[in-house]
Amino acid sequence: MAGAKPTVMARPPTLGGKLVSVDSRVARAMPGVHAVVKVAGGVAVVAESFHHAFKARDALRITWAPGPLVSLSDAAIRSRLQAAVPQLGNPPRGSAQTEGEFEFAFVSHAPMEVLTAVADVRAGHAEIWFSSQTPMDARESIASAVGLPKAKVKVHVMRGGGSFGRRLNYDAAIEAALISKAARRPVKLMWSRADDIRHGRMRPASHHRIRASHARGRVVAFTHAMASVSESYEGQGLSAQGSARDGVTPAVASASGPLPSDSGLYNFGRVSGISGSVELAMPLSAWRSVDSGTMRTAEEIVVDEVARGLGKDPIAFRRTTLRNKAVKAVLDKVADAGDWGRTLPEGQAQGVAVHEEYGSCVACLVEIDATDPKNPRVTKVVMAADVGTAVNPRGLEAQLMGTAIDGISTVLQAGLHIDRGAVRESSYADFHYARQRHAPLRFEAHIMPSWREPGGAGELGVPAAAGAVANAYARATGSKPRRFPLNF
Amino acid sequence: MPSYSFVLNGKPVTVEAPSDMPVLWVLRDMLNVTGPKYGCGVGVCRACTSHLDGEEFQPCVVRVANCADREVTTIEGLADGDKLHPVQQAWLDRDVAQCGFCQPGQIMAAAALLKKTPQPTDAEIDDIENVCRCGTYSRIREAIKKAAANG
Repeated sequence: MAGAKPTVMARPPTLGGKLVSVDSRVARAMPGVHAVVKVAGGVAVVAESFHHAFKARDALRITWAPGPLVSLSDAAIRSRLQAAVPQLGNPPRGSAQTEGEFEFAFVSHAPMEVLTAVADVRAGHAEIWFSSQTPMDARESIASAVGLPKAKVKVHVMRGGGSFGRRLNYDAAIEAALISKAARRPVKLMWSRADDIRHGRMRPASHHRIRASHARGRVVAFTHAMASVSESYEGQGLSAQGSARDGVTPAVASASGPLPSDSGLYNFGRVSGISGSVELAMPLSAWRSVDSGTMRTAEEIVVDEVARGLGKDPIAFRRTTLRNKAVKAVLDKVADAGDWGRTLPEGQAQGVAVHEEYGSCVACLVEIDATDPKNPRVTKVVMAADVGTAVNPRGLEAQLMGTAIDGISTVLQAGLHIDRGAVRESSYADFHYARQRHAPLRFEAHIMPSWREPGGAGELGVPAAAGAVANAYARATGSKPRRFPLNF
Repeated sequence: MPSYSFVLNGKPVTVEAPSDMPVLWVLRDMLNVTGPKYGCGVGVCRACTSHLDGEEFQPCVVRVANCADREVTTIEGLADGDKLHPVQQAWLDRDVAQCGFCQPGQIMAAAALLKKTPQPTDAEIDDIENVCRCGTYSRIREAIKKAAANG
């Protein structure tokens, strides 16, 4: 789009902070500055280059009012989540219990390619270029935000960098449209990395209480109660408009109800789940593998602890209790290919986990060196997946490889802190998504031969990888991992 | 406005730009060279990684004034005409890219490593700081070893 000028936003330090006043005289007088406009969420600067735009943004003198969460930090959020977890109820009479409580921090999507949108909003029509997982919803919301009929809004869906759920929401596109309308010119909006990490969106924090009841060497009941933060909408802010509320599965259930993924992978007798939530005005969104990334990870840790309690090997125990032959087959595959049970030096261990979803199943075997528990290294990952017919085996292998890195990151080191209503982290310097030195030195993916209809595979590996990393860490350190990320 | 001349991908260029303008924005917004990507602006994600006088650098944190009279090479200038650089060829052979956004920086970092260290150890490959949010690290490692083997 010729003539769309680089645009950045000044945003409040706290989540949902509000603009009180802005003195833009210095910024407007700077070279290369085309416009300074106020829009929902902050103050936009349109300039000749992103360098000019950032310089002028930094020259704005802004007074912000703190956002609605200014009295809230991690400790308080954790206690509220814990209190929101529904009661587990009574275990079967005569059974022994293996219980665990698990906490997961907020996690940024942190797509390498930050959010961008080009918008050209005129009196009678608008055109917007951006990458989106939900362009139809976006078009309606943009039309409503700029006061045009839907038919007068043209959306161009662009190829975009991987965003792992972040582009289900179209906050940046609405924002660009509002800026273009206010500035009366086409704009090329880019969120800075700090905007992206500090203003979301993020995977909701959650708290899980899981109980396996066993009798005579068998699990006879399995209960998982959890609570996660869900997004509350105050007024018609940008957050509400940019959210994928309609037509898209929400990131989390907003009220108590049955869990979406109590899949009954195992013959665990009476399996039940219940969830609660804590509503906060935070920008949240589904993150690769959605609820399974936390729920199934926690469950796989409990499965290992049950096996240990019964004096059984984690793979042998799973093999005797898994319902589905296909899941047993992927588990056997990683046990064989990954040389399960091989002797490792002290401080190192193997761990395993499985997952079944989207008509597919996967197993993951991890070797970890946790000699220094504060600086563990996953040295090897072996995964096996049955996704039905694998249309693009190299692509499938790549997806599994990516989920292994997601598991390593979210379990060991990558999360967001909330301090007085603000996100503490602001780049990859402090949001510790894995780099090469955290990635396994050896990675193998095995694809099970099948002519079945293809299942899903893009998100499939996350819970198995995360569970296997946690289980390997537990075995290497003799600890019970409970709060993630572990080094935070 | 000061004027700066440097060699970009083998060709001399002259730009009028503020002295403190990061060369990333000179490349992207003035010269329309978009291979180097913005990922953080503070030199930690390394999506913009390119070469300055043949060594790895991060254009998002280096001012254009510091590039005057020097040679800047971006991913666009890595191949020798139609002949891909061995690292680019290894990248294709190993299907490294997923979304692709960080890959120009990854390739430039790998090429700079191999120039200094033709047979890197795993520990030396581990020192590459470039973030890949898709998690392509295992194939990056394979591709670097393949490029090293192919010389």
